[in-house]
Amino acid sequence: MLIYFALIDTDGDRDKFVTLYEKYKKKMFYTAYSVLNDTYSAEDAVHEAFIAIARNIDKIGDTDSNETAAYVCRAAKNRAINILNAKKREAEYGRPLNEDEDIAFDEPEFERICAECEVSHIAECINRLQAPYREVIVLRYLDDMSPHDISDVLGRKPETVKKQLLRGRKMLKEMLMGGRG
Amino acid sequence: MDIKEKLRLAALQAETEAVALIPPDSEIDWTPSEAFNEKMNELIEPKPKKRLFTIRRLSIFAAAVAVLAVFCIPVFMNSSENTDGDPEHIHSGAFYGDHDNASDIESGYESDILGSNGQHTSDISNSDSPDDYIGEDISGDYTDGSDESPEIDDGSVPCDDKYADSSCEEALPPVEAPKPFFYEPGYLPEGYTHSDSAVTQYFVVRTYSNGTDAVRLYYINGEADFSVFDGTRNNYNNLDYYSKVPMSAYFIIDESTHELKEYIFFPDGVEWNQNNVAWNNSGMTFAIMGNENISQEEIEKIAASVNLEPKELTE
Repeated sequence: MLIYFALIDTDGDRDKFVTLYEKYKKKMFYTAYSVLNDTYSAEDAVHEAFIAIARNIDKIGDTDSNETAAYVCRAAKNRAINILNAKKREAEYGRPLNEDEDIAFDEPEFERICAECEVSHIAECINRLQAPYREVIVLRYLDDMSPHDISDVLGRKPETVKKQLLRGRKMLKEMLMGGRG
Repeated sequence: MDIKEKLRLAALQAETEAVALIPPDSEIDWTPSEAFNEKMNELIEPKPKKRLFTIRRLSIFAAAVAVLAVFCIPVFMNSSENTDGDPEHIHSGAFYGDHDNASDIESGYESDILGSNGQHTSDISNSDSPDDYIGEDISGDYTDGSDESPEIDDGSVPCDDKYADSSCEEALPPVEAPKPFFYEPGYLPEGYTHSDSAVTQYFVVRTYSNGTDAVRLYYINGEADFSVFDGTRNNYNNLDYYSKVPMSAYFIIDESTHELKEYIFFPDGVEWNQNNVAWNNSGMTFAIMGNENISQEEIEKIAASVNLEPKELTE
């Protein structure tokens, strides 16, 4: 027997949720499908994303804003990645890091370089990052998630997330420095 | 602009640009399946007959479970005998945390339980198997005849006991750093931020020094988090912590199983002089204290599992 929790309490939240559903379901499906290449898995990812959205519906403001659009699509993508990792088709995603890889990282230097760059340039470099690193960087800085939370969302080990954060920031720093030169 | 805000805006812009690349709905060839529509309809309009739980009922249930857990956990903790060490050593105050518990029990229990005159306590069965004594109360039957028994099973301990836990309400005396130790920010684990957000439970691992930052270890929902502050001395849940204190180690412990999942020791440490047990590891010393969610016993077991030997410090 299926049991459903009453995730949405008020009529206002329900209306907002329906608006989000009607407005973004296709974009979310497209995003999830681009990761999974499977219709039914993509639908599962979209459904799971909407469950998460329903739980946080009160935190969503303007349903038309870029931030909301980015949030719902990111929710779908993250669930898709989680499903993909669960199916153990790691391929481009979740590539294990070389244990001997040097991941020494200078935090103050990274912050100094970011301070000197424009927001748009940093955004461009973020979009050029490889998928696993881009995902953790976005969740870290846009959603302010801890490595533990990121590991839950993406279905990766916390240690992997920490290393990917470190490596992602290092790659971002190198891109930013190259862009200035 | 704050760096954190700048990176947040950059990440948002990156995400917005990625969404802009998605084709318009009219170009996305997808018709939701019947199964998907059913699931979404249930999410939007749950059928009344299936709505067994509401958020309000769940909240009440969760509160009831929490209240039961608060009362039941001490009962379970008290009913289990600490069999990880040699009872003779526990009694004398020097706990060596030997991992080979079986050999300790076999060598130590028999002589202690029999007592100096061979008398058994009423709760102990007349058996040669050390396993029969596990979980039994053997207080009072110690070979050296002392009246003192370690308060291993009892969570309420006097404040001057070296195993005092966080329930001690006496103010802790100030402690001076015995030698300098300088905290290096690079050793702060990746991803941990300097935030002082609300926490519900914690235990503290710290050392004292003339360092530049103070670090508190928070234990939140099964994972440690860090908070760095540079304030003055405070008294939080009857545990004093001092400003300008660097971190020397952290533990990540699974909240439900109390299994040690991860730990890191930083390269330097100082002796700590307090009325808690101090632990050594390869020259480092730091103190670990339990709290209402993890008892001192649990901490000792966890520390022993990573070859930490406690030692008593003198004032």
